Amino acid sequence: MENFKLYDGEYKFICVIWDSEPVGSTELVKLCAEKLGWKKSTTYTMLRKLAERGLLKNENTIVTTLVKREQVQRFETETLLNKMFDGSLPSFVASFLQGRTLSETEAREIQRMIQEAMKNG
Amino acid sequence: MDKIFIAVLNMSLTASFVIVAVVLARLCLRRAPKAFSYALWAVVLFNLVCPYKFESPASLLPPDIPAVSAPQSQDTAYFPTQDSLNFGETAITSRHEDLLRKVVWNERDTLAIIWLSGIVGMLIYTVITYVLLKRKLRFATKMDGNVYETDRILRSPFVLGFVRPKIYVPVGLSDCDLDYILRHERTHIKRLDYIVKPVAFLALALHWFNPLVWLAYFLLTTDMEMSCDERVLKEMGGEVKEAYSNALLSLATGRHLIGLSPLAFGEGNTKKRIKNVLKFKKPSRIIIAAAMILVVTLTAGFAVNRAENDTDNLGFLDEPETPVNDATAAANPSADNPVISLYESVTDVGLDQLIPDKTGRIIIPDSLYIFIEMPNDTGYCTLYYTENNEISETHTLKDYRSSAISTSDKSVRMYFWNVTEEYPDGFDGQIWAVANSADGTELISEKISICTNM
Repeated sequence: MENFKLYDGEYKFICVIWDSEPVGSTELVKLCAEKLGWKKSTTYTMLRKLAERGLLKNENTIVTTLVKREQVQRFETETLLNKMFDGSLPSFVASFLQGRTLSETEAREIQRMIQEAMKNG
Repeated sequence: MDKIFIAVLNMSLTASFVIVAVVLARLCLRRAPKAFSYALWAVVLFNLVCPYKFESPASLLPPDIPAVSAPQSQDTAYFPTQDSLNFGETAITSRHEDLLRKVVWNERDTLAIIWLSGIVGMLIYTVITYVLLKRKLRFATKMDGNVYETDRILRSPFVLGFVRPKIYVPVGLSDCDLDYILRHERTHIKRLDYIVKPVAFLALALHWFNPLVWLAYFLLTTDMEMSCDERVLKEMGGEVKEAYSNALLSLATGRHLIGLSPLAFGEGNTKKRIKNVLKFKKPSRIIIAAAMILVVTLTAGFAVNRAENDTDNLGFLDEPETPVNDATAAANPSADNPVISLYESVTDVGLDQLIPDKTGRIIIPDSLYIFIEMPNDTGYCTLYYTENNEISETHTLKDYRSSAISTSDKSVRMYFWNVTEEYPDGFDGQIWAVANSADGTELISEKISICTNM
């Protein structure tokens, strides 16, 4: 699995792009100044860093991402699963459900997802 | 360089005394608001960085405290011993001892260099940690106003910056904790603590060799944090004590790099602070009044020097006629037992310096010994003098009896000048020495004013 480990700042930055891609880099500088409080140079440094890691590309001052939000989310979830629950999905879910009730619709949705996953396997 | 070093030694000595007094005063102030303890450090800081003081007949500083004089500091410790304070009386009879002192002259240069390297080391360390921290915080994201959050720091929030300081907090704080933290940090900013701390650190760097100053620095930091906590509690009301302590505790895990960078506010000393927060209650008026009197008295008392005519010891000299440097503190020369002490070499050639007496005049004996300190490779040295009433004329001092005394790496020449024989009506003028080094450069000492017609 590719390494999508993102620090908080990196994640928030790429979120800004996900929300508005494709986005011109000048526009991005403006967005980052507004949402993250970053200077122009900070935004460009971050842009270069993530481009080097292959997470996005900056061509002709148009910035687009090369990873999907779901990919990063999945990476984060699995990292968490491996780190905290020894990769065991049941204990992860158990911990997640502890002290919280599910609504009818939530439960049905999850049920559906589980059945889907079993069919694929 | 040398002179600055001596001046710093003097300040360090005076300040050590003040630090001890402040530490004792803090004990009395244990039940008073910590803001008073915090305020007390101002006078310590003043003593650490300011060699000049107002004169006042009433001072809490003991008269013989600022008395590291140039010649003694090299071979005795930094602290004036009984011996060094009595130096004046023994000077004329212990010329050979003086010469021995000259031999170790270089040791003082070495000490000064070590001192300077310490300062440079501390400053470099600070700049590096500051830059590294700043780099780590590059991608912190703005939450609100000057508050930024980042996951690149461990769990401690802090204030960083000199002009428009920013508050950095770790991501994922609960709203309640965040509220307390921000109040605390904003109080730091309001009180300009983010300026006080670097200034205190610079003073620490200047006095790095003095363990008492380190103690003072850490106590200052503690008092700063605790008084800040108290202010937050005062604003919010005492009921939030528990919640506030919890916020402190939840941030206390893990020692951090930030604590090492003196320019940021790590939230150190959690245990002490929580204790202080939990026992917080509105202090009574009496305690506040007493604390106020104590702080004002100490601050005023330690900010002034005892006036000179009050004491036999001079402390810092302030004698406009003579090029005596401020730090060359003096013993007490009596009229029939004059003092000749060593000259502070700046140009590598120096004359022995006469110390003015209580009245600020220089008394010299019938015959004057003049010691000249010369650079290693000097071929020869000439003494010149001029009288004040014939300012344009310069004479070479007749060499009555000159003897060169070679030491390992500096040569010292001794002149003997029978002043009363040559000037029965008194001499009023200046003497200086010129040394010619092997490569032809001339080194000129500072001029010394001498006056015998009293």
